[in-house]
Amino acid sequence: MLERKEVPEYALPTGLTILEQQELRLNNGVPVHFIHGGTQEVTKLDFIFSAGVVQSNKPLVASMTNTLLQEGTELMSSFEVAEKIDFFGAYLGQATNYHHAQITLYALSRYLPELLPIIEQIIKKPALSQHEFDVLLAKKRQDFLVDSEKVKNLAYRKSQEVLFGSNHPYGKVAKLNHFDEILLSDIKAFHQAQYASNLCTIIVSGQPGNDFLALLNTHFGGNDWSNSTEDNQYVPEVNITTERFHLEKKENAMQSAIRIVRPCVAKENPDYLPLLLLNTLFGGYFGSRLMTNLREEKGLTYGINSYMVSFLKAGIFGIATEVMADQRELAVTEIFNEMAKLRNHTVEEEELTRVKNYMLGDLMRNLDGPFAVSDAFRGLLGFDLDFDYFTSFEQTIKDMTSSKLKDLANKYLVEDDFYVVVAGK
Amino acid sequence: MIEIQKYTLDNGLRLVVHQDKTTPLAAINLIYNVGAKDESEDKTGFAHLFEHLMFGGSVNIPSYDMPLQHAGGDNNAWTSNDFTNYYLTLPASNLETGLWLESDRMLSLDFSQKSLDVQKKVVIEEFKQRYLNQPYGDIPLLIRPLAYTTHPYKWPTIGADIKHIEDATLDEVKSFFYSHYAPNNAVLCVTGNVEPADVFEKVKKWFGSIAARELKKRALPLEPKQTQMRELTVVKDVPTDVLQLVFHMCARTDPEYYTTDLLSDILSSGTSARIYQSLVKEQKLFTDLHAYITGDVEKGLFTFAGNISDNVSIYDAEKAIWKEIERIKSTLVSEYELQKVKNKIESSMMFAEINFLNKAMNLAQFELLSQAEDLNLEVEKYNMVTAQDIQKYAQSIFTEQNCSKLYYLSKNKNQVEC
Repeated sequence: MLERKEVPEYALPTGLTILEQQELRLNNGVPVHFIHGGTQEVTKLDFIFSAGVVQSNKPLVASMTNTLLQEGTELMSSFEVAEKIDFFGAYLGQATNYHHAQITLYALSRYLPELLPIIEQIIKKPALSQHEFDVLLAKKRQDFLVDSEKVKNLAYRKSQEVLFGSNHPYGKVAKLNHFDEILLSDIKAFHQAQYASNLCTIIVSGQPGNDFLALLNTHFGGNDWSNSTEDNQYVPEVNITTERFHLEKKENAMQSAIRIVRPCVAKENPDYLPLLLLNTLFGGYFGSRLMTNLREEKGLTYGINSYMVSFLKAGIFGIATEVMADQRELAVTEIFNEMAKLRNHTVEEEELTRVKNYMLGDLMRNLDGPFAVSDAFRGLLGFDLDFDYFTSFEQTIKDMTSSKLKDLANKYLVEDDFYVVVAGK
Repeated sequence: MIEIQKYTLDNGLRLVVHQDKTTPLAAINLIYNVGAKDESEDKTGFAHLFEHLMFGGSVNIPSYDMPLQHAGGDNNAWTSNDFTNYYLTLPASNLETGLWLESDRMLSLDFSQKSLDVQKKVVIEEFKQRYLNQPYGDIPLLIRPLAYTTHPYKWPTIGADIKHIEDATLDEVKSFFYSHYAPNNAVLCVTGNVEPADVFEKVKKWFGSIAARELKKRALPLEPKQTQMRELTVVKDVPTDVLQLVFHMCARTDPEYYTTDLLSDILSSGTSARIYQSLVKEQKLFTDLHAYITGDVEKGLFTFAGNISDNVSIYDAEKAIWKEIERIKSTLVSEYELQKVKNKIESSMMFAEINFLNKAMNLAQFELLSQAEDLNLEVEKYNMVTAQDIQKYAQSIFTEQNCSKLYYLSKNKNQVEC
């Protein structure tokens, strides 16, 4: 007879296996981190520059520059660039954050010799033409207007402003007038200053073939694209408000978006990894306290989560959800109730084990395969951290106890330290 | 090339196994041949609501999620008009936990009134979050009933009306389960660091004793051939005008599917594609514009969707789309352009083969539609499409009488005279 009520035997694998990473350098000193693995002959290349919001002195400039790089070069039109990339079955992506901007190429490895010359032109000799600038700006402006109709974006933007102040790079959110103030000359100057070999890091992952370093040297290893810009990651003091409650009104909203946020530690702080566990238990996975209470018991929302963000110089602990507009106060009360429970009561062993096992499984998922490892590694750039971070994360999970969790909750989940931002009603 | 092993249990459950030793993990994907098209018109949104209830505890196991989390697993599910798909990943050594959980909820659910009451509220919030409280979120609710008069594709998976979800009863939930959820109406696919023979034994152990069920016969009403252009205009408080043109197209299993997919790629895949280059970049009529196909099991839709630039009339912008349509109907695409979209397909299939969960989902869907082995023939089928095929197919579907159009106008935009 099949024992359907009994859980079949299970055990978590011991020891995390992470694909190894090699530290290489191009002839001009550009660091190349190489993560070798996978069965397919494909490669992911990240070119990462100190060209984020922190390095720019005007809103939108960092992200506009990064996007515009792909829109044509001195030798090729924007169409020619796009057509070549498409023809070789490659994908070109880009992303900009506070401290860095990146260009990512996914390619079949056999076409790297055809593709790298194009990437070289994009980075060193982009056209940055007025026409492409106008098209891109019009699109970004419309996207901004559409995004501004979404309560979750309104709440997010306000929460950044509340936490850091509107003059701080982390708190400076885009406004409609910024779209009228940005000029092509800003983009050109920013490219000139920040997209240089001395500000560049490359991450290679996958199966790029034996010659990839020579190929990278051919296109990026010379001294033709350096400058004298310092790698400046300075951010000023935070100017935090004392006002704890912020409402961004939106008439006719059927749901209100809630962000409850506090300043928190960054990745290098010894509390960061233990806090990730508290965060998961509190609101970081489907079985979390917040999901169980607000979704699975009360049906107030489609989803709620808590999260931790670490920029280079500061972090955030936050909770985000969208709830029925007339139940907003109940939702906020319940979120703080769940914090109080973690401060005042010890977590049961069953729940702690469940969170630990889930997180150990998740760590395996997040480090599975060369591309995943390269993404995880990119998250460490700029910090004084290396791959040991992941093994100490694994150890932190295993060593966690209920009493440590309670101490952490009493240190970080304190109601008076949080700011409540609501968009909607 | 994805190597697979296949087995069929006596109760009709089909199993596909693919070994991938590069990962320490395993994936289980269980797809049921039931979707929103199997709902009745006055009870829409039911298949999707039901998907939520599948997480509310099964006959022998009070919580689905907790034991899975204990075993280091994670899971999710989705519902489309055609299918309901459940998937999970976990360390490969704990595969049995996943099979135990999936088999118990195939055996029977807990059917609790409390779970139904809560999930109705959750789904209603999902309805608001995705469709009603977002600019343009209600487009699927407008365009589907315009394009389909009869076929159940005329409502989206979330449902046509919140009221249908509010009215769902526990009896309806039970009868839906027993007429659609059955070993003989599902495909199970296991991928990752597993031994096929061992998977087969374990699947037999957990699923073998679930009896086959009598399924509700599927008799979908046929959509009558559209004979004239349909048009709908709405004016809403949104920042900009949006245009959608939709055309009826073939089904996923029709041989023309590959031609249709490449036709949409020629027009819109990647930034070098035609309509993006011509209408967004050169003429600046749209700030964004895409052409895409649904890939539904039944005859689907070919959609053009674009955001109109400020100071451009939506009617002028529409004319420009028709001009591009004329161009592809009257002139053969060049060999280079065709090769470009074929290369892109080949590389995207190669990238899709990296992830073991992705493979599990694709194999399960292919097995349900025809046979899992066919996944390996996809590139070849795309490669056989000719420029003539594309032109001929464009001529057959891109006609005024096969078109439905939605003008989604911004209340605040100064409407330009046409």
